[in-house]
Amino acid sequence: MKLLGGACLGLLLFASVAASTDPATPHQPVQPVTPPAPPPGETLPDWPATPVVPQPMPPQPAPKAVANLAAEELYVVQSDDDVQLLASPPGVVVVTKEQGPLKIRGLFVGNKIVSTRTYGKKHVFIVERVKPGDVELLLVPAGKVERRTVGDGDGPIPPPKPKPDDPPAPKPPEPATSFRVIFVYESGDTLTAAQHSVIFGKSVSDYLDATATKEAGRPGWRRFDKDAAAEKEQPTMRALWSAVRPQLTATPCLVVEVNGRAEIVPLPATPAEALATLKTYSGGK
Amino acid sequence: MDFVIDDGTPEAETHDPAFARGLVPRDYATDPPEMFAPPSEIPLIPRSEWDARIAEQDAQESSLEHIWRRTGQPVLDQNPQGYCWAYSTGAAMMAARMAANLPVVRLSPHAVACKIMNFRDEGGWCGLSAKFAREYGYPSVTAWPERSMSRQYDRPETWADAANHKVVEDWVDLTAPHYYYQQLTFDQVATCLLLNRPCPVDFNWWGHSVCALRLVRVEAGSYGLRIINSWGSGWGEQGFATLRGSKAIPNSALCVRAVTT
Repeated sequence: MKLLGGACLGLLLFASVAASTDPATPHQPVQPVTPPAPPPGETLPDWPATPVVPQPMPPQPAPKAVANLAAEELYVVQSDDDVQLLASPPGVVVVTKEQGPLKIRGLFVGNKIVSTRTYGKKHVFIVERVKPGDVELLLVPAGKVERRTVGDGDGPIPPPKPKPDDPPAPKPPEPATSFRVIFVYESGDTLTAAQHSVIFGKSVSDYLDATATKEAGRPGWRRFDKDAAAEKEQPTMRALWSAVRPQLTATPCLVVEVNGRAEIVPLPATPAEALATLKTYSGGK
Repeated sequence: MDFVIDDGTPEAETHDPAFARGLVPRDYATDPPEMFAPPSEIPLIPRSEWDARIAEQDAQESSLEHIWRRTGQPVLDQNPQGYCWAYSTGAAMMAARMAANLPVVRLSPHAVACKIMNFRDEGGWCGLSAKFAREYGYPSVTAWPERSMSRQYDRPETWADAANHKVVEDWVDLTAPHYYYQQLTFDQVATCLLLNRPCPVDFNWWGHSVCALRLVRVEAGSYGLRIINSWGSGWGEQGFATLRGSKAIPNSALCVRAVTT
């Protein structure tokens, strides 16, 4: 079972064009899809879904799929609503409830490095493993129940047993079979040294050379001026760019596509942070 | 450190007749800077930041020279024609493609120079070829073989290929000695290079046009331009060199901001 934590970011769907590799084949128009807003009067906690807001956004933890929670890792859930986070069975994890806004420094689940994150919601739950075993987390907001299960890495995790009044269980993230990245910047602007290093640094480009999906033999990542036309690009890259370009509101930023879904995220602050962010999308490769 | 050309370099080393040059100083009366975007649009990176930014580029291997070298693409070779003024722009466009991580395309500056000069071996300046690059583009060497002077390649397919390789985004004329003192020109080029925007640069002292890819710190308070020449890999340091002092102040310069994607 996977956990979805942190902030959701702007989503676009551009599937259905990835299979085309013939430059002469015309593309179907790409229609950005925006997830529907919650029904009037309904306020869900910041987990698992948040309203879709195109970038820019203040630095927040990137969305990530978490398979396992190690003993030294933190899994954090936040909400503005008065909710309770319950663990079942008890004793596998410790849940600490804190009042937000809150800065936390630690090793967050899915990351390889210690980092500092800010949680701006009123209620912040910190989940830490204290003994091996699977655990189901129950988030209870005003009569609603959301379920997640945390594994310990020892063997497959059985899915939770559905109950008649449960919402549909979230699907586990699919393996990244398609992974593309575009650094977007304004060529007339003056990038800071740090931004320059993220966009042009060798460590990031080496990583993308190794992991980005190739098209016509070229790794699927680019550095584009925000006004680039990309008309001569490979079909999938062209489709990706045409889908995200109208959604760009600020540069520099990062476009990440995984399995046909594209997100626009703020440019990470450092090359190390960029690598950590990209690994969360590529499945840790 | 590397191959450095400065005020102490003997002219015999920079004017070797074995290597063709071909710069004709630009006549601003007939080709004014206004043909491109004004240089005042460039917010200069102050000199106080240069050392840190150069160190950051070194540490992250993020300069255009680093990026070019990682591609393994050999430097261009213009010889024996004096078409340096088309090669400086061609190299800048190749570097801009590399910076965007587009597929590496080896361009054919000979095609552009032949077309502009009607197949005569005549000199020019980088602004001349850059203007052509904006309007028609540079063909690849698959459409017009390297260093070919043959008219058989001057055909529609060649120029259709060239249209895939244009300077498309605003580009900035950095020259303007009429309006600015030359040191400002150097600072403008330095700013562009610190932001990975390649710059074709003309030097009257050299009678030559080359492509600047990187700003380097030669010693405390002294900076140079790391250039890629068009004399093949046998010259300088695999075709690269550093210009410093008065030798690094261009008489004419351009910045290629974006190319066809």
